Amino acid sequence: MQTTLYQQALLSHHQNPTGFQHNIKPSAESDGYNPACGDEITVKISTEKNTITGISFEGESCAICRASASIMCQQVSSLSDVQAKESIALIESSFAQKVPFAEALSPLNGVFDFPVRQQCALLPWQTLKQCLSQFKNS
Amino acid sequence: MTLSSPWRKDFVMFDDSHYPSSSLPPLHYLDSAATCLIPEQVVAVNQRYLQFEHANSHRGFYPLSSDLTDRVENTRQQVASFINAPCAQQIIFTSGATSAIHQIVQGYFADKIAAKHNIVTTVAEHHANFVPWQQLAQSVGAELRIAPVKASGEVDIELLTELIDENTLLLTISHLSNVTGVENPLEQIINQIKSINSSVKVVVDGAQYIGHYPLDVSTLGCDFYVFSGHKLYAGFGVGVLFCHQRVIEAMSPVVFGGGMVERVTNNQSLWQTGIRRFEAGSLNAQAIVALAAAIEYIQFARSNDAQLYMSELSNYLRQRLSAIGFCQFLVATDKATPIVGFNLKGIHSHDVASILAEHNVAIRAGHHCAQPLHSYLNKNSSIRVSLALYNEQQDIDAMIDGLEKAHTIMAV
Repeated sequence: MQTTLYQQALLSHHQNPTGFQHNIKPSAESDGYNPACGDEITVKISTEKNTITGISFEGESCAICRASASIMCQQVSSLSDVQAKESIALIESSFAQKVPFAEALSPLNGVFDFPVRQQCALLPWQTLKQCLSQFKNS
Repeated sequence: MTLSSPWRKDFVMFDDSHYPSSSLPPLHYLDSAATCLIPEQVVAVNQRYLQFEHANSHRGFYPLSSDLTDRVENTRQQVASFINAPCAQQIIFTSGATSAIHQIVQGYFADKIAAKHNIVTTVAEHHANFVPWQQLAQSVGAELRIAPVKASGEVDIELLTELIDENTLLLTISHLSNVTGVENPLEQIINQIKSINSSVKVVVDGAQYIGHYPLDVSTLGCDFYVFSGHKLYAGFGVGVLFCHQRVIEAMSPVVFGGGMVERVTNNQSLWQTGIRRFEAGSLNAQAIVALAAAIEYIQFARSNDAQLYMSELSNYLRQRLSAIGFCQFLVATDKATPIVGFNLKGIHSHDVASILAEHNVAIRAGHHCAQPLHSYLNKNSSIRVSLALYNEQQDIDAMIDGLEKAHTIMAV
């Protein structure tokens, strides 16, 4: 069973998320919070020579946030910090300009019809952005 | 027997023939604690006002304005009678409950509070009745004391009374929780509080209570009582602040402007002596006449067994939710009221609300402007279902179907 928002691909990420509570030795971590609904997420990354070698997330959040975080963990693992920031910028601009996602990001396309839920999908990525800036600063 | 609402026909939003091109399923509106839908009787009064009666009240000598002034003042009397206030001169019109609380905070307590004082409230307050007091206390270094609630959701009276001492300036408390629907036994609480320290003032947030139960502020013994028109089927734009006679003279205006002054010179201004000094600027007469029509509507409904119907519908709601194995109520109470808060095991409230929304079932998900209560209950959000006169069994059945679907889709 699926709905317009909760397509099977998104539900698969929600039910079997990549990177959820993975045990890594973090170089940096950040907390994200969505005041509208109470979603809470912590994103941790381990890095080596400006490359993400491990990523993990945890927290109490909705299925959209959790699935988006799972996709994020698949997408940015092994990327450089610059490439990861480019991915985050792509996600943000795609939501802002309503440009559908392709391939691995496509489970998030259902969110376009529910503007109030876009913040749920964006939260992991924005938290990763904070995390990367913290890592860069340190 | 199926529970059908005799009032539903008064709310054309439920008539699908008005949405010929809509692909949405029929509306099941279960979010009346956020705002009540507006009956045709109130809509008609609003329309007549906009077409034929719009003017600025308390200003003109011409009939359009003076007639409207009479209607506003008659509404003030009508509100007083509705809540059994001793007189109309204790009823102040505001833009809503939040601005009414602001008037109390800034107009009555801001120049009376000092660092030695404490303000007592409960963990179950809506932010509108929590944040202003928190800010007031912090502005002078006073203490904000927060009483917990029991597992049943009622404020713990024993612990609440322990917070009262000779430095307590006020107690501020809701009459009916906007999250759990639990009613606080205010008459008992106020009696106990005043027996400990008779100078403690009591502020009551009645926003959720007023639309469901008859109110008697004289028996209650509170000093201030606030509510808004839009949770009383009147639409947005008007709130009511009742002040006991013992506090009204010591309250200052917060908003300055036209209509509230007696005399203005280059160097000073003198306020009007009556309650009009708290109503600066043009009154929202449209909202006030709508409030009058809404009160008339609700009184007529109550004279036709509305409370019995709402009680049966609330019982049905609780019974259906209780029968779902994966429903977790926020508080453990058997007392059914028109508002109920819960979660579905393992499913975030926003996911539940989104799935219900696809079936045009309107419920609320999130923290409902009550973050301290959710923290206290160790929840980051919850689902709230709230009933009103237009709801009937089919709305609850549709919601339960949606919850079961959400569980099927989302359970991990």
